[in-house]
Amino acid sequence: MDVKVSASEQLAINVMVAGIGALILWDSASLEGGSAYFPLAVGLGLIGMSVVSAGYLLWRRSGDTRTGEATLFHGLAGLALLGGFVASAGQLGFLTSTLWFLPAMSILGGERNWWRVLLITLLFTLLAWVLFRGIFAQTLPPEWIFGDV
Amino acid sequence: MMELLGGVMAVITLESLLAMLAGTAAGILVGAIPGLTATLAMALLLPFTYTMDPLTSLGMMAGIYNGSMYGGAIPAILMKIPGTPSAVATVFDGYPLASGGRAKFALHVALCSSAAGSAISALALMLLAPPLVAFSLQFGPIEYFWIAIFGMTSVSLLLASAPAKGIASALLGIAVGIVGMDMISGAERLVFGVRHIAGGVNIAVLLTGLFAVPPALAMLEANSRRLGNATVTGSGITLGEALRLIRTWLRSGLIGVVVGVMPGAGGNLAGILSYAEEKRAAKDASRFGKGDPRGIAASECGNNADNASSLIPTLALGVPGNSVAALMMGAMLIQGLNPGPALFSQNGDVVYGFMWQMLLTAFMMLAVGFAGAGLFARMLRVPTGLLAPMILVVCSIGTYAASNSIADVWIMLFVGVAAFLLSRSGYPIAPIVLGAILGPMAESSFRQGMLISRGDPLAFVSSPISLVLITLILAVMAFPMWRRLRSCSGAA
Repeated sequence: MDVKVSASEQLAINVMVAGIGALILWDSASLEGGSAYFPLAVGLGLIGMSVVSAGYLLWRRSGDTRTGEATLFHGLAGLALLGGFVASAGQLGFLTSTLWFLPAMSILGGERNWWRVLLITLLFTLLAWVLFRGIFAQTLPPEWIFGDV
Repeated sequence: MMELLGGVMAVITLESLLAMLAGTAAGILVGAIPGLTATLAMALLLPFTYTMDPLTSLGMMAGIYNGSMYGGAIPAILMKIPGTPSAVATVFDGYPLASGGRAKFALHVALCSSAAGSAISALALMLLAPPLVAFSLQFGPIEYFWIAIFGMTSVSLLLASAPAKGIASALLGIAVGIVGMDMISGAERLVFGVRHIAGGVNIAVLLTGLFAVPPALAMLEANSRRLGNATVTGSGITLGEALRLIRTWLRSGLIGVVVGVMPGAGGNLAGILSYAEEKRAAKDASRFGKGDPRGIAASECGNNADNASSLIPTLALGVPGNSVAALMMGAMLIQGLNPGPALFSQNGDVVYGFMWQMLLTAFMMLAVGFAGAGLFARMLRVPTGLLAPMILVVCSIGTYAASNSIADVWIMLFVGVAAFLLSRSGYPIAPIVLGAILGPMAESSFRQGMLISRGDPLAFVSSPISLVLITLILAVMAFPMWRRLRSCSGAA
């Protein structure tokens, strides 16, 4: 399922890559001798390649392309939910946080069968508890509902 | 020879056999779901391998790698949707056979051909890796520097639609690889005050963020659709029908092995090339595309024959040629094993045992595939909107498990954000991993070379091996220009 990527988004990513190159150059300014060779080369290379990519994009004019990745909305919303999940996992625990994260992401993914979402969320959380506690004996952050896992 | 035999004894343990079996079944399941690939499954597994025995974790990886290649054929045959990019050519003859009521036969042809391709590839790994190791003993730091540059250049230029983006991806990977303390001068580089990464970025965290997060997000696009109720109809393959495919398997197996050794190529290229060659060599080519079993056999044998052979440069030289090889190398690094000539002398039982695991999982794939054809077809009904969050939960817990640190999970998220944005804009992901692995190798080899040659840069172009490698790098760099010129002249 291909989605469109606008030329302005590609240009913004090129600028971001060039920015990373500039950051690497700034960091390597304090380095001496052999330690600086590779960071300098990488920083300059990133800026150079970004200029080439951006130049090609501007020269081509109609630079919209297609990708097999998620749309910007789905991708960023998904990443925001994942960020919320990681933050919540540190406080409430991974398994407890799964109880809100799985339904929220499923809804974002277009799932509308609430009974299926509820059933699979409970089953998956239970299975994860058995797997990580019973089989892997994994130490996880303290759980709000499940206690110390 | 004794080391090779010693490897068999190392893998015939209950734990190793169960790991291979579980990996093979999981690989077929993952491959059968469009959107899920071997790289995703291996990236999910990687953080959990810290506490495993080396041959248990590598056996599971070997099973996933071989199994997922066959798994990709299941939706290709039943639904006309390749489960993995490598199964594209399987659609051409697989779907016509299935829609003509011979789905079971088509699946069996794909299964036997996948097993044949995997076995041929594993034998090639056993035969070719040891001589390459012996040859590589002539290499010094300068030759290793050029090998690392060749690995990064070829993968970044051959995988990217735009060469500048491919090179930028590799440079980003090098930047990640050199984060932390410089082992020679002791200076901190690219740490930016984040103490957690002063020792470098954990390879398992990087691989999980790069290979698990963007595909999971892409699954949200499927809007929880079920792909359909595919049914496995008709009768299976007979021994006589299988034996008639041997010539196809040998031809496609050879193509797959050659493509696998080349850095930057992959199973999809091997499958398509094998299909094209089989069609060219056939006396009655008109049957291709209408349900000829040789078409399925060529594609599946070719893409599986790419598997173990792609690990030849990884095991012998420590230079991964594609993302799966980089993941395999990551699994070895986690176990404290450094791929390269020293691995063969210091951990012969593990490296030869792993080669046997690649061979044994080919046969396990036959057993699992025949037994579970119906179950794997049912995997097409799994709603992807529910799978995506499960993948993200497992990779978050796995990343936490790697070092018992929530900071690593934040780094995985950060890497995932970057990977999502970059891949949307056409920056390939595989060169980032290669840069992270080969960048530090290139840097240390470069600095050792400079020390040995007392700062003389001409030493880098003085040995015949260096000159051959430089020529190869220039040829790879010229390839995108040649491709563009050819397409321009074709259009004209």
